[in-house]
Amino acid sequence: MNSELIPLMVIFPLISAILLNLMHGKDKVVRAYGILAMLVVLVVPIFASYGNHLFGAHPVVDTLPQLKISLSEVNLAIEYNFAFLQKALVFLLAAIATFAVLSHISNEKKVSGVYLSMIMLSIAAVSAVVMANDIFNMFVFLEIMTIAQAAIVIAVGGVSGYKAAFKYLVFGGVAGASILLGIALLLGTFGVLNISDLHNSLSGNMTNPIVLTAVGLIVIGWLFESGLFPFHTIKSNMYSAAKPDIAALLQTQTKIVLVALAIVLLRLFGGYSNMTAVMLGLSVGTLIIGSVMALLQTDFRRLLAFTAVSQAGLVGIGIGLGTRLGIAAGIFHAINDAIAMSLLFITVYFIYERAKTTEFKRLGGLLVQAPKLAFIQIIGILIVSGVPPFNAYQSEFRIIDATIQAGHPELGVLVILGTILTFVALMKGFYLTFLKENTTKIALGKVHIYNGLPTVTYVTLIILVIACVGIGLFPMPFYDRAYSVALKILVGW
Amino acid sequence: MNGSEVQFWSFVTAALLMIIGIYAIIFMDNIIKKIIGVMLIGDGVNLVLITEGFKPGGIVPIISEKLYNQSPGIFQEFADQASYSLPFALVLTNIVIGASTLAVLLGITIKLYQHYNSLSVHEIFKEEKI
Amino acid sequence: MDNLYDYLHEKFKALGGTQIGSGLSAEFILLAFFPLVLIALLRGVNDTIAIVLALLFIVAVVFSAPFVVKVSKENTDHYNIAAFYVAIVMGIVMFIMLGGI
Repeated sequence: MNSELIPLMVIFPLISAILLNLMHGKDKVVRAYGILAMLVVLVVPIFASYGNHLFGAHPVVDTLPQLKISLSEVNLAIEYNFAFLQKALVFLLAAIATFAVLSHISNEKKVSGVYLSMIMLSIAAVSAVVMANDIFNMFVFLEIMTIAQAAIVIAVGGVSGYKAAFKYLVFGGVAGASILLGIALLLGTFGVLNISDLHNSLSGNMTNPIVLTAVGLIVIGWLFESGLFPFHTIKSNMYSAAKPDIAALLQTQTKIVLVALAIVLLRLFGGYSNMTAVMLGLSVGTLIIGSVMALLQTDFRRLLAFTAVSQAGLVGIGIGLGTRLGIAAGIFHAINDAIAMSLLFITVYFIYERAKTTEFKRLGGLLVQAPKLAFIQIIGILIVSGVPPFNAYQSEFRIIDATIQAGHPELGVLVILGTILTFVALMKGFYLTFLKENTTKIALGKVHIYNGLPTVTYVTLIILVIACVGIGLFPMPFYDRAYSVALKILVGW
Repeated sequence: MNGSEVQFWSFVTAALLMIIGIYAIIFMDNIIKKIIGVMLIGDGVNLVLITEGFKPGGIVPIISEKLYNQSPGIFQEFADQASYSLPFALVLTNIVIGASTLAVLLGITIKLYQHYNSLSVHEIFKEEKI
Repeated sequence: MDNLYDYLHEKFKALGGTQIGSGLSAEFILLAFFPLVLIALLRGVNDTIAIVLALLFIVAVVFSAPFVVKVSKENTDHYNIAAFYVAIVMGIVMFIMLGGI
């Protein structure tokens, strides 16, 4: 019907990014356009119908009679796919990004057009990564996303933000070059870039050493984009250097990109067991090391950053199992966890906005000042730790189930250990922030946060809690769709 | 050197560029040298792509209406001889991306230098104990 | 055993302000993590190798616990730490992908 809306999800944020950049300095215009643009970004994925969109397409025919040029069967167009999974991921991204934009607009006296433009750029890039069925297009938008995320962190992070962004860009350059080299090797071997065409060309070619090199290179890129083991300190540094509302956006984007890239990897090289073994092994390491490091932090933002990284490891375990149940549970957990971690990040955002610090040694006794916030945060902690009836319970339970069905019960035990550790770490954060008496020295000044929750934050938190409970009580519509995606990955697109 | 030798040494050069880049990123202390390393890796990958599109003794992959009118049967021959043009488009995109990454990285470098008065990684990351 | 708390306090000082409770919980999880990974990797491979590695693990526990201090030292935000592990993992991934193992 209206598949014309599909490219709009990428093109509109891109145009908005340019326009907001030009509007920088005109305060009222930026405010109005920012809110309007976020409304459009939120609405478009809801109304777009499922289907494909081809850029620069030509009909696949043998000859074009008027030119007498024979064309191959290969589809030269850049193809965008849009189905339920894409819809869910793009909408989730738009929702979290809306909060980031609204919180900036409602809190700052002077709104920065450039900052909003970078948020728009990252929305466009992640939407394109989710929908693109073309491996080079995916790479281009991954690089744009890296630059946009680094720019956002530079804008809000101060000196620690510069350092985090420096590391992110340097290793992002390495990982990006690694992905591009993999693509170049595949292009040189098969001559196509469309993922469906590559899937067809690759079947039966998985012993070719050039292809195996390409697999390794693209897996290294995947590790960076999803913040798994060797890159976990870089990602967690980005999360903790950014303001927590931006960190919520960043971790949502990371999980969406993790799922999108992993689907591509599994579609192309799913039959290669060494690849899934590497994905699984590094994900397990990330889960445990992430949650151990979360427990050792003395700053709430860093604690949440490492928790987010370890939860990405949990998603990676599901996907790395390579079975139907595992992939479905992993995709499902990515969505659930992005919502739940955003909830926690936003509660900490409120503390950070009011107290200007999230260090545990300066916080304490905030329960009296902000009981509502404490209540919502404890719900968020229960959600992330996988307590029924919330959504993360449904997916974590299914991941553990999948590990046992796949014949790796030890991994199930490790997932449970990691979840317990996450719960302990988050409860420690809650205790030190809300329950423990504030023993800060007078010189540092006691922290006061209570002036009432601002409406934007409050409404967002309520919406997120409702989403968590809703998905937790009725998981099947989402899980069934994730399961059918997993089935498609394994059986053929 | 004939065409395929050029192609071979071009690949070797690309590999060397990437190795030098990785060396710089890991071992060099100066952050500008690290940035140069990132750019060298990108250039190495670009060179791989260009070399893939190169065809020994090939012709430029542009076809004009005039050429077509002169000899209509030329297309099969053209397709056999022309070099592969898709990688060149990819390289162009990657150069643009590399340039923007470089700009942001150098901007960060200026800010870091203003704050720390040094470009050494040891100085800048001193607060994060090893 | 009386001064175990003091001993741990001394060891965990390097972590910089972390409570001993959190350090201990993390330590226990790590102690469970290593043997589980060993089991997952070696289950069904060879009993002898598994037993030798289990013994080595016990020796490692006796001589190098607490692990937490070492783990946290290897996961700071320092550039060189990240570069070291990225280089190692890139090598290992390519090695495994090309069928080295």
